[in-house]
Formats: sequence, structure tokens, C-alpha cells
Amino acid sequence: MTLYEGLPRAVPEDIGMSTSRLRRIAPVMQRWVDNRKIPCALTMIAREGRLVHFEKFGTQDVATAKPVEFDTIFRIYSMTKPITSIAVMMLYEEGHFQLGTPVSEFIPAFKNMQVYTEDGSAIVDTEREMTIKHLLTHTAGLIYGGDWEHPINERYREADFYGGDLANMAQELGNIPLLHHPGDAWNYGMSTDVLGYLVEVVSGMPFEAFLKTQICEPLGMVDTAFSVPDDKADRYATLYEPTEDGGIQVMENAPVSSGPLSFFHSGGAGLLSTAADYLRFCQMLLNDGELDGVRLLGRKTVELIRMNHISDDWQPLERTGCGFGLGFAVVTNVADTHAPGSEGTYSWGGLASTTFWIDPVENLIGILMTQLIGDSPFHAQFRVLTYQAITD
Amino acid sequence: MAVPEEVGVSAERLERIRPVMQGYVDTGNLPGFLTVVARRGKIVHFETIGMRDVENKKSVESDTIFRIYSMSKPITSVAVMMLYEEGRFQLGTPVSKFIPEFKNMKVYNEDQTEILDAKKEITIKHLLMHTAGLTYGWGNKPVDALYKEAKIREPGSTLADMVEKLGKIPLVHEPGERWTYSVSTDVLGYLVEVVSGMSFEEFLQTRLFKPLDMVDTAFSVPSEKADRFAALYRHNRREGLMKRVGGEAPLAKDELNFFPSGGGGLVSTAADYIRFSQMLLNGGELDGVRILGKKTVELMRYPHHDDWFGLGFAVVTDKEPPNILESVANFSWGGAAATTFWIDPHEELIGLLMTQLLNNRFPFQQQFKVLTYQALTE
Repeated sequence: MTLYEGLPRAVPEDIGMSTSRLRRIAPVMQRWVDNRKIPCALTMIAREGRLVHFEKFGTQDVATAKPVEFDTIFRIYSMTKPITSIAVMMLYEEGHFQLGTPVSEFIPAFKNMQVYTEDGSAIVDTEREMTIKHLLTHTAGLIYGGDWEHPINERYREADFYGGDLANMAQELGNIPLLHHPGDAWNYGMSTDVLGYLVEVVSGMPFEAFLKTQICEPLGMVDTAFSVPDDKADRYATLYEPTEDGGIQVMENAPVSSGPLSFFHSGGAGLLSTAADYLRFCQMLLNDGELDGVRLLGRKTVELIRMNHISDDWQPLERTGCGFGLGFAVVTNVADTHAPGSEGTYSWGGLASTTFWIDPVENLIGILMTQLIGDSPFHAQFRVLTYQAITD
Repeated sequence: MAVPEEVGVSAERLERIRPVMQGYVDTGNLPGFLTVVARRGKIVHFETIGMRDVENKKSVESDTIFRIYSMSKPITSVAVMMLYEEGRFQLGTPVSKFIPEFKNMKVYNEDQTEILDAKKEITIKHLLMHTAGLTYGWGNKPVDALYKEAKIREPGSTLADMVEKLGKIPLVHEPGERWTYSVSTDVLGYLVEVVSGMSFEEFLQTRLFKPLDMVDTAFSVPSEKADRFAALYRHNRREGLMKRVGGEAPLAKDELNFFPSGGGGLVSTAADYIRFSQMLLNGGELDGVRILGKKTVELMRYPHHDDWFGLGFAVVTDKEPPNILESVANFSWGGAAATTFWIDPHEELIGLLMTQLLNNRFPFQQQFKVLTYQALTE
């Protein structure tokens, strides 16, 4: 096994996949690159703990024509969230808190929170305490702030979440009323950043140090961090955005991870990683918490993480057929996802069009890395092309 | 004891239990603990922490005797189901057929202002499920005052005295209408007496405890075992610590011989209660001794009431997303002195926690459950 592949290789036919059918992936991905819709792509498929497909397309920097490599480092943005959620569940396993424990027990800034009334015209006291489970399931009432008409968006714009440390971020968030009472709705937001701070408070270790010593090092995720060291800087992909004429251009002010090569320790969006590193993380989960003799979680905890924990009436980011577990979307109805797959598949993606999924029924992992903040219709294609290659 | 790895449990991860429990003892919040985890019929964790008597510096031992209070209820319910299996009654049989005091009961109306004739008879299933309309008398309703006044479970009185008093007090709601935790299981103890023709304690001893080798489970502590009997403590909300409970211990008082309450009167040990639990996990049999048939145990752990309560146990269903590590179909109950147990048929696992603290406000039961389940590796 070479380090940059994450897992040992297998002949696809040995684990129920067709080599000739897997070859259908490359021309489709190459077309996106050739048409200047994306700078690059890495596609990766593992089954039964073995790598069966790992291919690269395009350039990690278009201007210099530097090809993307298997060890290129990407901003994974919200694919940070599953990693932070696992950190939280590792501490849960040590008995430090229950899922229903109020967040304010560890982060006093969240004591006596206020909440906007439905139309945003008034601010009242919350009906119940925000719990750790609310944060894990994005039902706490925290949001990211947007541009729809509501006074909360102005508050989020004004706040300086990433200007100080995690304690400061929690304080800033605690000052803003929630969008809804904890538990009343699903809303994507800053919850996982708060969980990063929770890890810090509970473990007594800086969040970054916890991830490094308790997750990344034990799993051999050698390039996953909140920063890119100088000696790896040339492996770091450039971030792109679509242009009006249908091409792509360099994105100058990348969210969270712009400027110097060391970023805010955002548990929701701050990590950089490689395809191989992320594959090892996914394989640990697919193995019910253990990889190569290193156990991060017990089997029952992984099962709990990938159950649907939210109301059937809610859809995480318009993902039809999906509920939400503890840090992941979870397929509850394959037909409603309008794509091949399996019930119980858990997944998430990142702002720069990266995505992954873990299918416990087919014992399969898919990962796609690229670096474009824009639409990503190629995700669905990659998923179809992966599943059509299964033969057993 | 088994090597945990042989039954799919990580020994290293089980070691996480002790420091968490030890923390409660070190801070003076709890006197002591005994925790047990069994999987696939083998004990993989059995630990004692802290004191059974703090003031006299006696530590918790593997044979310490604890007041299990409401963990008496599953035992009484099993006794009832043993008689059910003999064809003595059906679940829907009116209780009044055996206990005439429950004939023509009165019932309070919804807002508890009027006393009416009950439309329905109390059945044996109502008693097993706590839906009979009996209560405990702990609240502020008019019915609660009647319970207190009647001294339902007065020391020195008999179970026959108890049902005589209960028969005269109106029900708090119609039988079957809703779940109200209650003296129902005490009434079931009397039912066992009437149906079996033995005293309740004699039935338990001869039909259940002796066959299962539950040598220390009883409504009394004989003098030669008195030294093994744990002292009882109460959480003191004002000072945040625990206070020893003296002569006013509920039911299991210091004179070592208690009211034979099927709902709360038993004392037991971890070893005894694990054997009882293992019998249930095995579908009614342990070491060649069959107490119940397999179908009867399945019937007991079916969620008969409101998706959460069976015949003497709480039952986990998949109606709501889980809020803790556990399995659907787990059945369990706890006692007033913060003891708890659960039986997991899916993982073939039993968890048991013994301590002696009334008015518990700490989450160690949930912590123990999490710490148990996180140790499963297969």
C-alpha cells in the first residue's frame, strides 16, 4: 500500500465490481475538465476495505497547468463536520455528557438563549435548552446567515465569528437570538463550529490538538489539518468559482481558508485534507469504528450516528429521501433520492464541490474531490457510475 | 467471568467505566457502586467502587445487599406470569375474581372533583401495565390524600389489609385509560398469594429464588447477613451531597424485616439480579431451570402500552429516534435508590448498576449505559 492511496488495492472483480464498467467514469469526469467547468477531479471508490478506483483529472492550478495529483490537498469545508462529530462522539463514549445534556453546561454563553418569533418581529426566551444532540443534528436554531429578509441575517453579518478564538466565536453566537426554538426545525449552520469548541472544553485540549492526536494521527491521516505547512504548500489546490461566460476563475477570497496557510479552527468548515486521508476516515466508520487495529468508536456508537434522528418532514439541504444522523445525511428511502444507493447510506459534502458517501449495505465508499465553489451536477453522475459497476 | 474479547467486548474500553463512577464517589455525591455487564451469558465486567457504609468505612463488596425497591416489580410480574402459564387466569381476567375488594370500584372524574362508579373492571393486565387507575399517593390530588391517610403499606400489616384499604379508595382514572405508576404491583403480590395458596414471599422463595439460586433476595435481611446490608443515603439538594437515611428508610427499614411489597420491598445482590435477568434474556430458563416459556417472555417485553411499557418493564421501540446508545427491544426498570438494569435481547447483553441513593439527580445510569455500549466491538 502506498501512503497516498489510503487503503490496499484490489482487482475489482475480486470484490464484485466490473473493471470495464469502472472505466466509464474517466471519460465523463474528463469532459467536465475539458469543458472548463471544473479545474480538476479525483474520484475514488473502495469496497470491502479495498481500493478499486482512484483516478485524477485536470490541474490543481489552471494558470500554471500543474496537474492534480493523488496527494493534492483540498479545502474540504463541510466535510470537516463529520470529523468534528466523530470527535464529539468519542468524548460521549467516555461518559462526559449525554446527547440530551444542555450545551450551556459546558459553554455558559449558551445559557438563557433568546429566539426570534416566527416572523422575526420580536425576540423571546427559548422554550427549552439547546442540547448537544441539537448541535449534532443541526436543529439547535443556529444558522449560517443568508440574504433572505430576516433581522437574524444582519446579526450574523455583523458578528465576527472567525476573528478570535473558539471561545470568542461561541460568545458571539450566544449573543444572537436563535432562528427557532432548539429542536423545532432543521437549519444548516454554525452548530458544528460550536461542537469544535465543546471538544476543547470537555477534553481540556485545544480542538486542533484533539483532532491531531486522537483522530488524524491514529488513523494515519497525515495531511488533514487546519493549515498547510510550507513543505506541503505546492500540493495545495487553488480554489475556483464559475464565471458568467460559463468557465471558471480563481476565487480570491475563499471562505474560512483564505490568506495565510493557517486557518480558523472551524469544526464546521476549516479542514484541509486529501482523498486518501478522507478514505481512511470513511473506512474507519464503515468498519464500525476501527481501522488497522485502531479503534476510535464502538460499533453501537457508529450505528447510533448513522440512524435518522430528525423528523420525516425535514430534508437536510433539499436532499430528498434523506434524514439526518449525528453529523451526516442518512438515506431513509432510496427511491426518493432518485439515484441508486442503499438505505442507511450516510454522506455529506463540502462547499468546494467535494463529496463522499459510505454505504454499509454494499460495503462501499465513494469520494470525489475537486475545488470549485459552484454547482456540482457531476456528483450524481459519479454516484450512478459507481453503482452501475457493481456486479455481485 | 469471561475474557471480554471472546464475547465481542473490548476489555480496554470497559476500563472507561471505573473512572467515571469513581468520580461520583470521590466528590462525596454517591456512597458506592457495583456495576455488572454480561454478554452472551458471560460476565465481562463486575466492579465494586466506594462504600456500602460510608460512616463505618465498609466498602462495597461483590456480595453487598442492596434495597432494589422498584426492581422488585419485574420479579413480581414474573411470578404472576408463572401462574398465568398454569392457566389460572387470562390477562383480561377481572382482578375482582380473585380479590373481591376490587369489585364495584369508584373512580374520580377527569378534573378530580367528583366520584363516580367505574365503568370498567380492573384486569390483571392493567395491574401489570400500571393502567389500572391505582396510584402511589405521592401527588396533590384528593386521591393522594386518601392514600396517605389510609397508610396503604403500613409496616406490620398484611397484603390482605392493603387490598382492603385500596378497594375503598376511588381510582384516579378509569382502568386502561392511561399509565399511572402505582401500587399495582403490590396488588399483584397479593394476587400471587390468593392464586397460589402460598404466602407471597413463600411463593417467591420456593418457585423463583431457590430454583434460580438467588440466595440473598428476600423481604428481609437475616441477622447473619446484616453486616452485608448497605446503608441508604439521600441526595441533599441544598448541600449538594448525600445524607445517610436512618430509621425512616422507605419499606426496607433498619429492623431488617419489611412489608412484603411486590412493588418495592425486596433486597438483593448483583449476583442474584444478574441470574434473574439472565433467565429472562435466555427466554425463561437458566442452568436447566425453566421459570417461564419463551413465548411468555416475549409477551412480557412486548410494548403493550403506548409504545413503551410491557408487562412489568419499560421497552425500547423504534417509534422515536434514540437519544442514547442502546437497542430496540431493550427491556428495563430501575429502583428508587438509583439502581437500574436493562436486558438487550439483540446484543445478548445485560447491564446492572447497584447503589443506594434516594432522590438521585446525577446522570450516572445513562453514563453507565453509554460506557457499556461503547465497549462492544462486534
